[in-house]
This record gives sequence, C-alpha cells and structure tokens, in this order.
Amino acid sequence: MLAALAAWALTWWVLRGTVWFTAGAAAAAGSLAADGAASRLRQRVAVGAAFAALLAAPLVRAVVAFFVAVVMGATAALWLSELVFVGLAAFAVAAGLRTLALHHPAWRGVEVAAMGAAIASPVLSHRDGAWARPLALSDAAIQAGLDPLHVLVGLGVLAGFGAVVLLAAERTERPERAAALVLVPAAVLALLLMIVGGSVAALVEQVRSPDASTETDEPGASGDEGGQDPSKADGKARPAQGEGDGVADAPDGPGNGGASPDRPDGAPPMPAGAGKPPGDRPEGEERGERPDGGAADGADERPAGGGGDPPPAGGERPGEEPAGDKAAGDKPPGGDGDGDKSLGEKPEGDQPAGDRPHGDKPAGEEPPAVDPPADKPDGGQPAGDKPAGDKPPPRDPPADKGDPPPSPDDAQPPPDAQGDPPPNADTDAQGSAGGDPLEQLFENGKSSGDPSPVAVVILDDDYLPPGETWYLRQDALSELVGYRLMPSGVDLDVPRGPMVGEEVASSPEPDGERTSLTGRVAALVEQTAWFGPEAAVSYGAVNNPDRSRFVAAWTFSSLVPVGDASTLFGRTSTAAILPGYLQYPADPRYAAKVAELLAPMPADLRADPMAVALSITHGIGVDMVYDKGVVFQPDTDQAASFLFGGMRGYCVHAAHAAVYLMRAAGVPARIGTGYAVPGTSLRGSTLLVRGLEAHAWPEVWIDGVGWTIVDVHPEKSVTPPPPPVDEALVRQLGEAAREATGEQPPPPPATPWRPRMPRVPWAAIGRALSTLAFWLVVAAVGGHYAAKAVRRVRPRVSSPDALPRDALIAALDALAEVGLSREVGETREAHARRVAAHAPAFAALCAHATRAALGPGDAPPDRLLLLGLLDGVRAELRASVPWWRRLLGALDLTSVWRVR
Amino acid sequence: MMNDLTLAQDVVRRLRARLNAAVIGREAVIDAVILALLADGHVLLEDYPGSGKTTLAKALGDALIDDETTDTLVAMRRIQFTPDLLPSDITGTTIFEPEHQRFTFRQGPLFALVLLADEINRTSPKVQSALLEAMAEKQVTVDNETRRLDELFFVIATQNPLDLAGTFPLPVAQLDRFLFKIRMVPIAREAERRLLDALDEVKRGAPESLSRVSRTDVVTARRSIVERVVVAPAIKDALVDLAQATRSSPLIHQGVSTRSLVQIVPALQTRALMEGRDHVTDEDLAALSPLVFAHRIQLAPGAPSADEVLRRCAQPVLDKLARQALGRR
Repeated sequence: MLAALAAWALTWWVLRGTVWFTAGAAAAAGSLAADGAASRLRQRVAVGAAFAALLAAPLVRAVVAFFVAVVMGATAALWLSELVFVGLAAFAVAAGLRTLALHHPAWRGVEVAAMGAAIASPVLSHRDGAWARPLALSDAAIQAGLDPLHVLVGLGVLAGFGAVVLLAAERTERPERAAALVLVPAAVLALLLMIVGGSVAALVEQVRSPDASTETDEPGASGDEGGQDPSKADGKARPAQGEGDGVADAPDGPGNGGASPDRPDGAPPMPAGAGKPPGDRPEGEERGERPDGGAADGADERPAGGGGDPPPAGGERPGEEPAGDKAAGDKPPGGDGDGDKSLGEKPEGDQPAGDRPHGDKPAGEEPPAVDPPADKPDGGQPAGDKPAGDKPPPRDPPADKGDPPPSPDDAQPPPDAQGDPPPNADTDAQGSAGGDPLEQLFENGKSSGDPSPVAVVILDDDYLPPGETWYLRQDALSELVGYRLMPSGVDLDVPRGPMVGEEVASSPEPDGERTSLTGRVAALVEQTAWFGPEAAVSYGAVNNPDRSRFVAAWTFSSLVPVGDASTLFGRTSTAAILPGYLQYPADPRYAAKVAELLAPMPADLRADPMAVALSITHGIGVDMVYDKGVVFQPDTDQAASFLFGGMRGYCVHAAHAAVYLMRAAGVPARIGTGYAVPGTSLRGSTLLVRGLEAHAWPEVWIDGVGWTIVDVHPEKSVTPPPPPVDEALVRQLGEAAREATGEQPPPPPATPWRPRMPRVPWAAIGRALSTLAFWLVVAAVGGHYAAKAVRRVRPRVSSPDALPRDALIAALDALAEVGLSREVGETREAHARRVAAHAPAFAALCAHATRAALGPGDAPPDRLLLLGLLDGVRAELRASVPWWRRLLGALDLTSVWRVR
Repeated sequence: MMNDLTLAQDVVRRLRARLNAAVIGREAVIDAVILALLADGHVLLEDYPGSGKTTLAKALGDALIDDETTDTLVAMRRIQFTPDLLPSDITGTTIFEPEHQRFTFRQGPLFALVLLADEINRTSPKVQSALLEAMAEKQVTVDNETRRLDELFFVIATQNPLDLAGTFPLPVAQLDRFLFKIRMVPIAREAERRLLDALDEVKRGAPESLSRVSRTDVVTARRSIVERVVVAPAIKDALVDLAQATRSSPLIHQGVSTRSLVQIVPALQTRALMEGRDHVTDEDLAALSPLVFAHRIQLAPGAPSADEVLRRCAQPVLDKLARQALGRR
C-alpha cells in the first residue's frame, strides 16, 4: 500500500484533474483498506465486496448524477458523479488486487503490474495536457495495422491467461515464481516495446510527414477499408474502455475526448514532447480538462451557460483547409480525399483532430497519387504532436478547394455499421472523428482551436446580426453520404473556387428580410475558401495588407438578415431545390423524434418551416449537454447516437441531428460551417475571428429569404467558456487589415516553406521494433506450444540411447503441467516419491532414466517398457488429477520451463 | 548385472534383520551403521546415555561370526574411555613370561572385529590418537612392532554431546577419521512403547532363526561393492564440485578434506546397493553428504547449522546432477 501511495505521488504531476486525483487517492485507500481488512474478512468476502463495488460504481454514478442534478445543476452533477464513479472503481480495483495478493503470492505480480500500468498509462497518454486511455498503445496498434480493439482484447486475454497460469501454478504445490518471473517481465517488456516503438514511429512520422508515402502499406492501404476499419476499431475499442461501462477507464472516457481536442493545433509538427505545452493547459477538473481540450478544438466551446454565444465552429476551417485541399486537390475524386482523412483520423481515435491536420498537409505537398496512403499514415500517427497550433499551418497552399468531394464512396461508412450506433452512442461518439469534412474542420480548427485569431473582419457598415452572433459561412454540407453530410456541388452559394479573382455566389435573390453588408477579411491562417458574414453573395481577392501577418485578404458582399427568426414565420419552404436537401438516414427514430418535438405545437404551426426548425433546435438545445470531449465519428450514425443516446456532443453532433430532424419533418435543411463569432467580439468595425469559434450549424431554406441559420443553443455544457478577446490584439490586427488596398492579389503563394528534417528512418525503426516485438511474442507463444508438442511425441521416435531421457522429459512435462515439477535441489528419487501419490509409475520410469544417465553403460532399458511406463504415468495423472487442472496444464505455456 | 552384488545385498539384509530385532526404533541409525561397516568406515554416535548405543554395538558384534579360526580375535569388544586410560590399555602390551623367559604380546581390546569406544571424548588425547591411528591404518604399533588388526576392524565410538566437563573434545582432524557422525534422536513414541512390550525378547537378543553374517561375507561384500557399483563420472564431478563449494563458501571456515571424498565414494556405492541399485545417483549424494561432511567442516562465525550450510552448498551441485539425466549441462 505504500507502493500505491508512492505510485500516486509519482503520477500526480500529470494528474491535474480532480478526477485523477480522486482516482489515485481512492486506489491508495483501497490498498490500505484491503490490508486492514485482510485479518478480519475472508478472502472471498473481500474480493466479492470489491467486485460488487466495481459493478455498483456505474449505478452509483447514475444515482449521484440524478440527485445532484436536481440540486446543483447538470454540470456539477456530471462532475461529481464522475468523481464518485472513478473513486469507487479505483478503490474497488485496488482493494481487490491487494486482497488477492495477500492470499495468493502469485497475484503480487499482477498487483505490481497493475500498479506499473497505472503509473505508466498517465505518462504514456499524457499528451498535450490531456490524456486518457493508453493512446500510445492504440496509436501503435493502428500503426501496425492492427485493430486496436483486437490489441486490447488480446492484452486482456493475455492478462487473464497469465492470471490463470499463476493461479494454476500455485494451486498444486507451491507458487511457481520462476514462471511469473519470466513471463510477466517478458509481457511487460514486449508491451513497452510496442508502445515505445509505436510512439516513436508516430512521432517521427509526423515530423516528416512527407515521407509518409513510403509507408503506404500500413494502415489501410486501401483507402476505404483502411478508413473504415480503424474507425470502427476505435468505435469498438472505445466501448471497451469506455467510460460508460468502464471501470477504471471510464474516467478517461470523457477525458479522452478532451484529449483529442487538444491536439488540434495542426500546425507545425512538433514532437509530442513539444506538444505538451498546449497540453498543459489546464486540464482542470477532468471535465474541465476537456474543456481546454475542448476549447481548443472546439473553438466553440459554448460558454457553458450561454447558449447565446454561438459556437463558432466552422472557424477552424482555416486549419482544415489543408485537409480540404489535399482532399480536394489531390484527389479530385473527392471521395478519396475524405476517405483518407477519415483514415487518418480514425487511427488516433481519441485525438482525432490534431493529427489530421498533419496528415493533410503532407498530403498536400505530395504528389496526389500518393496521398491516400500518405495521409493515413500521417494521420495515423497522430500521436501526437500536435503542437500548439497557433502557428498557421504553413503548408499547403490552398489548393483548389474546388472539388468538393462529391461522393466519397470510400469514405462512406459501411452500411453494416449502422446497427450499433444507438447503444454505443456515447462511447462511440468519443471515437475519433471520421473523415467528415466537418470533423476536419474541427480538427484543423483544433489546430487552431486555441484562442489565437484566424482572421479579422472589417465591416464597412454598422450592423449587428439579430441573434447577436456573427455567422461567417465558409461551406455548406448538404449531401447525405453514409451517416453524415458532405459538401455538395449543389450548394452554389458557398465559395468553392481558388481564392483568386472574384467569385459570385449564385443564390436566388432574397425578396426581403435581408440587407446588404460589405467588408473585408484578412486571414491570419491559411483558408480553404473565402468566408464572410452569412449569405455572402460575392467575394473578391485583394492585396495582402501585411504579408508578415496575413496570408490572404478578400472583400465580401453579403446580404445579411435583418430580423430575428420570428419575422420569418409564415413563409414556405417549397423551394427544396433538390431532393438531396430532404435526405436523412433511414432510421425511423428520426420521424418519431420529430413527431415528439412537434407534438406540443399548435397544428397550424406544424407546417411552418421556421417554426418547425426552431422547435427542433430548441428541443435539442434543451436536452443537449455540450461536450467537446465527445468525438464525432463518421462511420456510425453519430447523429442518432447523439440524439437517441446521451445527448452529449458538440456542434457537429447537434447540427447533424437537427438537420436530419428538419429533413425528417420535410423542411429542406443543410449544415453550414464556418465561424460563429459572438457579437461581443466586435470592436468598432473590427471583428476578430478566433480558431475556437469554428462552428457548424443547421440551416433551413426559407422561400424568399434563402438559407437561414437556425442554430442549436445547448443549455448545458461541460466545456468552459473561451477566454475573452484580447482588445489590443483586435485593434492592432484591425489596423493592419485596414491598410489593405484594393489591388489585385498576388498570384497564389507557392508551396509554403517547411523545414526539412534529416531523414533518419526513425519511423521505420520504431515500427520495425514494434513489429518485431509483436512477432517475438507470437513466436514465443508458438514456440512454447510447439516445444510441448514435440516433447510429447518425441519418445515414440527416439533412438534407443535417447529414449530414456526423452521419456523422462515427456513424463516430467506431463507432471509439470499439473504442477508436479521437481523443486530445485530436490533429487530425482525424492521427486518421484513425492509424486507417487499421483503417478506411481513415474518412480520406475525415473529410475530407468537415471540409470541410463548414471549407471553402467550396459543395455539400455527396453523400449516398450519405457513407453509403457510413460503411458502409465499419463494414465495415472488422468485418473488422479481433475480435468480442469489438466486442461489448464495443457494451455500452460510455462510448463516446459518447470521441467527440471 | 546384479549377480555379483547379490551376496552384498544378502549381507545387508541379514544384518538389518538381526540388528532391527535387537534394537527397536533405530532403523535409520542401523542402516547408517551397516553402511559404514560395508563402506569400511567408522561411526561416531553422539547421543545421551541410555539411548541404545551399546545395545546397538553389541548386537552388531553378535551378528558377526568370526570364521577366521586361526586368529584369536573376538567379534566385539568395548572400551569405556576414562581420563586415566593409557594407550597400552587399548592396544595391548608386551609382558614378560617368566616361565618361557621371553616377552609376549598381550592383545588389547583393539583386536576385535567390532569395537565399541564408549565416551571417546573422556580420555586423554594420546589415547584418542592411538585409537585413531588404529582406525585409519588398521594397525597398532607396540614396542616398535607393528601389528595388523583385522581387515574388518570397525569402530563405533560414542560421545555425550552435553556432559562436557573434563572432556577432551576431538579435534576436527581426528573427527575426519570417522566416516559418519550420527546424531541419534529420541526414538519415536510407538517404537519406545513397543520396546517396553518386547523387553523380554530384546534381553534375549536376536532369535537364532536370523542367520548371522560371517567376517568373510562382509569382507567379500565390501570388495564387490567397490568393484561393481558404478560411480558415474558425473557423480565424481559433483563430489569435486561440492568439495570446492564448501571450500569457497563464505560460511565455511574450512571445507571438506580430500580424504572425506575418498571415504564417501564407497559409502555412496554402499548406499546405492542398499537402495537396490547398481549405480550411484544424486539421491545417494544428497542423503550422505550431510552425514559425511557435517562434522568435517568448520563453520565461519555466524553461519547457520552445518546441515543447512551443506544443503546450500549442495543444492546447485545436486540440481546440476539431476539435470544431467535430462541430457543438459
């Protein structure tokens, strides 16, 4: 228990969050309690109690969440219940292990291993300040092309197997320490190798993402499959560790989410280590931690309270662009693009976001052909480093954002996936995001998810949007692909072309409720496309006012709304331009949900598109818990998971859910992406757009008005509000941007400069190491069984000289399997006498073998006699040892080591 | 293969039968004594008074027949050692015969097949050394004339481990002459009870139905054992390893002597025979090394008991030996 305290002390520096603090303290307390109770409680009672506590933990959490929610509100309830749950689970696990260790010396190894894992996991998964499950492990697995779920399950099986072996070894006679001494360190070593190798590989890859192409093979050579698998993997894996179910891990669950977010800053690939800085950001309470994370990525962390502030999701786009480009650019067949991304992202599972960016960039640079593979790799190695993303991603020039990947076939989630969503909802959600463009936005966003500015908007006129939120639309997602919405060519009102010259959005002219607004945008971060206040109708490139500060500048002309939603009642929405605006996943629950939400409305309003949209978004907003920690995962119906599950998620979840519901209600709807900037950020005529304001929101088509934003305003949030705008910065940037002239912009920038790292094949080495470790383990296991088999049959074919020895070894194998091996220092005869109770024939066999070894070298014993004795030993063991013990023995790898 | 050893086994069997009939509850000690007799060693029994030492020695003498008619030996003699004993008291002395006007040699108690040397630590070192010379060389020198003892000559010495006042403890060098030092433990409860039941029979001695063993049989058995029981090279290696281990162990001040290795080999062979084998195994070594070596080593200060120290020294050696049966080194 001292050790537990020590472990706690050791890790607490990474354990910033209250939850982790609680977990450590509870584990230490559990150890202490088990020690104290050892003399008073029988082992079974103690272990049973610990197990019961473990099972009850989720229940207790639910109860606490419910009651505290009534008294103190949702946020406090979530936080407190998490604390209780984690504490209880940690306490139970620690106490159970301790009790077992007290009664079975062999379990001490398990306890020590658990402790080691407990120390290692925070350290391993500590990335950018957010941490959760052994991220490094899943990274490594994905890197190696394995499904992380399989790896986890394999580890679990191995652990269970190890425990059984230890118990079995202890059962018959004495604990076989030798076995534990050999196996446990071997397993730990192999695991460490895998992890270390994996992380090194990941790290390195990011650093030199360009090379990625080389590693094509790995993750998913085939875009589609690769893409999907990983993602699924995550999905599943998640559950395993998932918070919901979770035991110990549970805590992480949420946490992870957080983690991912942090990575965001896609920018310059810095080694993970470096990455930390961001990490340090306050993880705060565990929930809190996300926040940071969340904030980061989210950009939109909506202020907890304030539904008001629109979650600026889209904003991140900037970051995303890279992705976008490559996606688009490289693989014109947009599909791939997405696919890749997805691939990329999935891998990281938890840290979805961050990586992508990297991935992307590389891709961008590389020859298109390569990308698919390339991306994945990169993405895959998300590991981590997403350095703080403030720095604008240097990479790719805004490629032709042009091709909105129309139909990422690959990207689309396999139909099969559908089934699961509901159940796993929450857990899945955490999964890494898929290749959703949205996601990418966010990821990128994450990259830029920090509060650092991405652009400055200079307004030519006074104007305040009705909702007090500036929606800067950059793209729209309207085509249903699988379970999510993707950019579609039908949305002609969003800028998709290269950011040069002029572009006019072709949108039907509104007949009212809109007014004209012009202005200028100076971007600090690469953008895939222009953006401007909602309903921009034209853009024009202008000279960059300050090259040292901005990467692009353009003017916009928008038709902005003048009245709030209430002014739009009574209009129709028949202009469903395309049937595509009414498509939603074939899930009857959507229709049911719509019916439920619309039930309280007066009948006459049920046909009013605006009223329907508002009641839908309101219904979602009331129930939703804004949580950046949840990851949007493209291969399952995340909207359904969100909507019919825990209602935890962020803008992407909410937007999808809302759009599907609107479509289910017959209202043409799509998702708009871009930035949602609180009106309070306006300083004079300067509006500062920050990465954390990236957002995605639902939009409905209103005849005569056009696409109208009906955003979801969550009433509950576990993500903290963003930091306030830096006044000085706004002023400075605003002035800088104002100097812009109206001249034509320079030609598109050349490929951005990026540092070249020396090409030491660290990644290959790391991967080779982990692969080697994996195969070593496989070989070791296979070798042991092969040895057992060979030694079993060898006497039948032995030469007369070798027969006595081989027969003896075979007999000793049989005895060792049931725990009757010779003790060190025990003589052969003494051993034979000891096992005579189980196998009397062994004494004779042993005598013959000994005589062959030490006696006169005359005639060797009769072959049939020896084989008969050997069979006799086996038959006697069958008769005297219970079947399950023999079965364990047959499975026991270590028995060959106990033949002495 | 065992044919040559059947006589030896028969000797063992008959001696066991007779001794066990005479001494109840001492099977282990009886086996050790028989083993020493056949291995041509001597035995030092360490026990409290009244524990059956003399009975055992007498029974052994009784079980042996001196079939050498030409000599004047007796089967068994006993010397009670006292501080005032003189060497000539045990070796014998030359006396003048007035009738024949010459000196003749009168044999002392050493001239016997089995000698019981009671309380050997109570006599002076010079008497002890006279006895020990006889044990080692099987000869005595009186008046510059060396006289051979019988080839069978077998000494059972005893000493009381507690009552040490006025004693002359045997130095390690002299203990080295004894093959075994046996610490007798109180006999088991049932055996003691049985002994009381069988008091009459015990007094009468072994029944005549149990045949005795002739001196010639024993000598022949000794020879055949040495010749016929195989000592594998691995065993000899192990012996040397063990000796080296005792010499290098920090717990042992003085390791075992080379003489003890020479003596233990026939003992190992005899034990193998008594276990019904024609070859020495690690089991024999494990069983005999404490008996043979424990009294020959001098422990360093702070060491645990000699048996424990020996066990630690022997463990790796024995383990290696056992592994050799698996063809491993």
